[in-house]
Amino acid sequence: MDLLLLLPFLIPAAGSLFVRTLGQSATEKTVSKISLLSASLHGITTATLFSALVFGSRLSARIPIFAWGDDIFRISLNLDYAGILLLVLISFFFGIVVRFSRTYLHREKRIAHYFSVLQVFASGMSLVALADNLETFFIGWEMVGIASFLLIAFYRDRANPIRQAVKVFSIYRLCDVGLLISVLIEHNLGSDFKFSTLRTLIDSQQNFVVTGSHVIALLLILASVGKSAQFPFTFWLPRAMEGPTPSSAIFYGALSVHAGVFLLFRTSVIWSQIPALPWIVGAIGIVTAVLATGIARVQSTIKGQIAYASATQVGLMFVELALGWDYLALFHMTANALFRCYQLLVSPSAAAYLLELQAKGKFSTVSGFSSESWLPDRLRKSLFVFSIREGFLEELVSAIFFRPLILCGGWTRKPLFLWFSSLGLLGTLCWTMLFRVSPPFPWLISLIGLGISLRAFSAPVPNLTMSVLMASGSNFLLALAAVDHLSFQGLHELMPFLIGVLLLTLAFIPATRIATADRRETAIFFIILGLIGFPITPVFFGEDLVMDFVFHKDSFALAAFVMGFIINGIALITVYANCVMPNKEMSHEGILERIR
Amino acid sequence: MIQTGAHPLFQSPFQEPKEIEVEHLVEALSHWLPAQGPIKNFVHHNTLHAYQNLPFSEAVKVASQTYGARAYLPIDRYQTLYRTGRIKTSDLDWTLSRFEPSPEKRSILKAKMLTSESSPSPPSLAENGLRSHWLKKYGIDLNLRVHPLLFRLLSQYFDQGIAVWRIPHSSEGFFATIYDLVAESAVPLGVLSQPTALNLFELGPVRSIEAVLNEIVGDRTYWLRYLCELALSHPGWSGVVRQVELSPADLVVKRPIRLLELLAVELIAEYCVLESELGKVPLITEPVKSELTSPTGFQAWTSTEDLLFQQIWHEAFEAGYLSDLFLELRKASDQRPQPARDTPRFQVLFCIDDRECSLRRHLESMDPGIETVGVAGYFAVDCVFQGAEDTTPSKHCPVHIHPKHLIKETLPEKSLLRLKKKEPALHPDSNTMIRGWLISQSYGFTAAMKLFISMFKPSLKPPFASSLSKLQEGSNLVVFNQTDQNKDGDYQLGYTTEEMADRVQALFKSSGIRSENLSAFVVLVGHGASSVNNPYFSAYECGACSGKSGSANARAFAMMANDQSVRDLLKLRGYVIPNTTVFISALHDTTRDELRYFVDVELTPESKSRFEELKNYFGQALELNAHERIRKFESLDPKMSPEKALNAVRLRSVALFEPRPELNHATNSVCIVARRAMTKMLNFNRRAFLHSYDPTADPTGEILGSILNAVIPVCGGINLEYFFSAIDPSVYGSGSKLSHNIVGLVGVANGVEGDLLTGLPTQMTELHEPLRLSFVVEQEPEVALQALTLNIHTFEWVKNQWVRYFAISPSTGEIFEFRDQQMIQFQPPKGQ
Repeated sequence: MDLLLLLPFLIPAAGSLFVRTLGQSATEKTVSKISLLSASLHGITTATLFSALVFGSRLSARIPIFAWGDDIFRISLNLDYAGILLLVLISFFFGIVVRFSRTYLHREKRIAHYFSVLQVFASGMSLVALADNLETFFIGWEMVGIASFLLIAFYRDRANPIRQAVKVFSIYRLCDVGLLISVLIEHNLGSDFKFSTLRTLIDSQQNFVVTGSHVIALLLILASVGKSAQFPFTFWLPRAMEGPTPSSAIFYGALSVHAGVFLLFRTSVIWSQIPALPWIVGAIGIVTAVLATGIARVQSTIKGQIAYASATQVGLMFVELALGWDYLALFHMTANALFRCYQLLVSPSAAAYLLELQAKGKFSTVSGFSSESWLPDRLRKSLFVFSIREGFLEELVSAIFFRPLILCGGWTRKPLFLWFSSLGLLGTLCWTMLFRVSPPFPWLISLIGLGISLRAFSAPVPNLTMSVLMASGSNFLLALAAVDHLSFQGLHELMPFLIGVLLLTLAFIPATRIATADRRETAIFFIILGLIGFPITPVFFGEDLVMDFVFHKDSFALAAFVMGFIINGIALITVYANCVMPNKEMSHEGILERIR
Repeated sequence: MIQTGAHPLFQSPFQEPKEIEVEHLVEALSHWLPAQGPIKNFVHHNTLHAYQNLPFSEAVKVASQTYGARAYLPIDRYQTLYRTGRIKTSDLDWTLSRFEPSPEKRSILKAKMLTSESSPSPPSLAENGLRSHWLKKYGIDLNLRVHPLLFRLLSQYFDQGIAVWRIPHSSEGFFATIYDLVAESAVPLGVLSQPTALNLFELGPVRSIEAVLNEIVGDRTYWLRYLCELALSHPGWSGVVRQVELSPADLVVKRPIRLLELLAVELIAEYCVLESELGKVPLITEPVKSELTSPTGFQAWTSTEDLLFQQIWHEAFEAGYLSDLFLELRKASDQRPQPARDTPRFQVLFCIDDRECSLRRHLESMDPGIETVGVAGYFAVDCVFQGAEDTTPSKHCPVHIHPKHLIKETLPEKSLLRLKKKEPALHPDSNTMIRGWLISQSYGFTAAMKLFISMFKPSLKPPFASSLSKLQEGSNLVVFNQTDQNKDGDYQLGYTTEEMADRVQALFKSSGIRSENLSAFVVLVGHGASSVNNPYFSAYECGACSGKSGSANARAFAMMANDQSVRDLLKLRGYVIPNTTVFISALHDTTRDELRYFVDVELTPESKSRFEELKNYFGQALELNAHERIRKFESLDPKMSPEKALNAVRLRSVALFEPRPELNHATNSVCIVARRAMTKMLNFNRRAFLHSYDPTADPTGEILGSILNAVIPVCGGINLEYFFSAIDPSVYGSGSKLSHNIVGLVGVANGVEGDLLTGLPTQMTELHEPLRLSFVVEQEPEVALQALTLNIHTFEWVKNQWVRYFAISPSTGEIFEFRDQQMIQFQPPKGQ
């Protein structure tokens, strides 16, 4: 009975795999029927779970899927009222959007791809709803992220959707690191907590707050802020509206954008314990709400306006959470998801509706009066420009994060870097071989690894294989540097990770030579997925292990490893974007241009 | 085989651009921009209208190299059509023989054509010239750096009602508005707030363009080229700006703007980007300029062998259709007994629209006493119409006519006003912080219910459907007017008796309805369409009414023809309408296959029973029509019963998730101007525009000429818009409509940062076979030619082969084709 909890995750996942396996050969009818079946089964399961909960059964499941020494990675699920609420929403939207898209995407060439990704999304969201620990939550979270990337880049004959998809992915990557590290920290603390027993755990363990929970809490907030498009990342939300309208509706109107709120709700016991953090959450919410509402006011495209309006409401939910009104936040989340999804689905009607109101003089467009008109002229115009420039959020994030990376990336393109890194590597290798001890400057290797990673990220390289090699190589070095200062024992421990990276990298070369475009793309996709450390791939577990080693030992190597994780992820997804794009003139740089 | 020539833009009078002022340069280049105005008045027009003075085959080549589009379908598409038998060997041979007289050369050509491979579209002017130099040499992508900000400012400036807070605009235009914003705001507006930009803004639009071009281009010879590349880097916005410049009344919220201003602001922004990246902006140097082949700095067009192959393939494609068409026409004329010229019991006047031809056939099959007549759907009532609730009138006649009369709708009681429920999901007010908080938490749940219900039982009505200028229940029309002094705004309210008589007579004359053949029961059927969740709603309506529904025109005509004083006057002119004759009007909803009648006359018991009879026929005909329509919908089962078919089409007209409520004009290919007898028994598969015309009453071709003046631009425009959107959906068309985003209520774009899209979405054109429209008139060749040459603009369409023109002699049945300035005998290819 407890295993019933797995079904909302398994059904769409199986449906997605099925659709993907059928690939191009499947007719539109088959594909949409499988998806409809998957949505109905998902609905039935949800209804069953709901009645089970109402009739008082306590369902929970813990499935160990990976063990390394005493380190156990578990899928842990639990059914509670908040979870079932989100699950009902997922079922509802999943059903509606599948029904909607069956007709709406009729005759679209890549309809199989669309339905496959849509089901990955439903599957990931269900995991988010039912997860009882951070590991499980993270798996769902990443599935949502990658599905989001794939549907923004749904139309590939134009450059813009791909650029925006890479941009959104970069921001996800940056923020998801928060969740990843908190998963790993939590894991390495050995606390093995469950959301359902968190409160009792905290009450019993007086020292919980001391042992790193403030870091976890901050990181969790970072993750929520990214996924829910809060300050300073709000700008990605309107730009994500490049896919077919129903996909925009379910992702950015309904579910994905509210996932951050749900994460904060789930972990509110952790962060609300720490005095400063509710203030931070509230401040982020307030700032976003005020900024985004101002920006929404000047948006003159319908989807852009809905995006900012939705971000405003999510900001208010953050405030509600910060005030401790958790259930109001959940209610608000539900209502906003329903409303925004509807709004996006009917957005093509706006022209007919508003034009008619206007023709009948029932819609004051001529006066131009608005609540801003009482402001002094100069202030009003400044505010207007500020809003038109979307609060300079994109520039802010660029200046803090992307620009420094690109700047550093520029240095790695100089020949000096090549000499420096070759000599450094060679020297370290000789030292280790000769003296059988760790080299005196382990940070040197981290630095070189990071450099190579930046090189893969920022520069146009001769070919894509080269980029993948560099990203993997830097992963290698960063892991080596992190593990026990490059001793051979460390190497031994790291074997699964290193072999995983090696195999995937080697597989990339034949994969790019597969003749059928569809299969080539699928192969490359799974390889890239493995290399970026998608949950439950060897690389992911390798990362877990690396973290195990460095935690508490070498903060520089840890920081370098984490940076490398982010940068390599972006570099690799850019490689993927380049692989699938028929548009040859769009260069690596052209894509990167967007995230500056 | 390779020919070259100068771009027509640089043929006289622009040989000496040195002398030309910036205003004139902008004027010259504006001609080459897409001519699509704001989306609410979507009127079909020739996508390559700017090239209409060139022969078709030249124009598509030049345009393809101007916009980076395909000239024809890719060669492999034609080869596929050849393999599947759609283009027959006989069609190809026949076409080749028209191109190449020598049989040996012909067979070499044919062999090459069968094996030749498709080549990619050429780069557009904007991608390959002076301006792209910045990207190629310095890696500065100006489009990426400037377009997002520029589009945001433009869409804000144009916004008709999406943004809650509109740009603090100045009445002096776009340039002044932006300058004001930049100068007053303490917050920088991107690159536009750099000191250099402020200095440039101070110069005003013309001189700032001159200043920037002097700095970066230098030699004035190349200015036009640079400006043209700039404007064509975002053809959608440039085009709309130009349209609004030419006719500011297209926008309800007035926004004065000139293309010049847009280019000035853009140049300033680009200059500032270059300056901040490069320090001192270098002049584009000679090597770059001399790479351009033409001395004027303009890319010359080239004609390659590939293009010739495509042209021949294309004409073979058309020949295949013509062969079938004329075969059918001949077969029908052989089999058909000459109809007895009785007065029909019912006369039903339809619009020539290709969507009506099947309904006409089904209706006539109900009873031999029913005669249908095809006329342009504005029923000779050239007017602007103002609905009972409308604040301003809108044009209800073909684009090229400039109406002087206003028809108003009035309601006897205010209470009858159709109260439209406010839809919070579509209203910008729901997107503010506080109201958004309240509305989402209250209305959100209602929205969910609505959404849920609409998935399983689609039944959306307004507010999602467009119902602009549709007539209301129980309303009256103000059509009559005693004097021509009664002004309402710029228009004369209603028509005088004489004016009405003119219009009634004109319609009868052009459609060939003689007084003695006039039925006692006449119905005028205008058409419109209702669709939900569809930004292209205007393109679904009547093309002869400028993208509005034809119900007001039909109803006004019926009122005129029913009027006793009009009849008296007509009698004096020799056209007798018997007292017993009644005129009734109706609106055919082409999406829903629904009919609404307007009866503005007292019906006698006898005509009442006739009316009931006709209603019954119409009911059945609509079912059959729906049944015929569903065969073209891939998702519907063609074997369902007519009754179910009608339900199915009605269901899709109200479904939120249906991107193809109807297929509009897709597959249109022929326009026949002839007596109904010639087309009566033929099934044109909804591909034909049918205009009634009596050749025997028109020995001079004067009537034919006036018909062609209305029909060629309207039908030709529809046809060529579909043609080009189908040839290149991403350049001439607007791509898939599934990701479209409405911008400022003036257009659609992809995402939030895209250029405005022009043309038709693939959902409307995917079934369309891109064939030029063939006009077939029933008339002697000399008269047909004479009629054509009466109007130079109409003649241009035919002379330059934008449409094809054929005449069938009523006396001998021979077919003639307009070719090389004359009508010559035409032998269509013989199909196997």
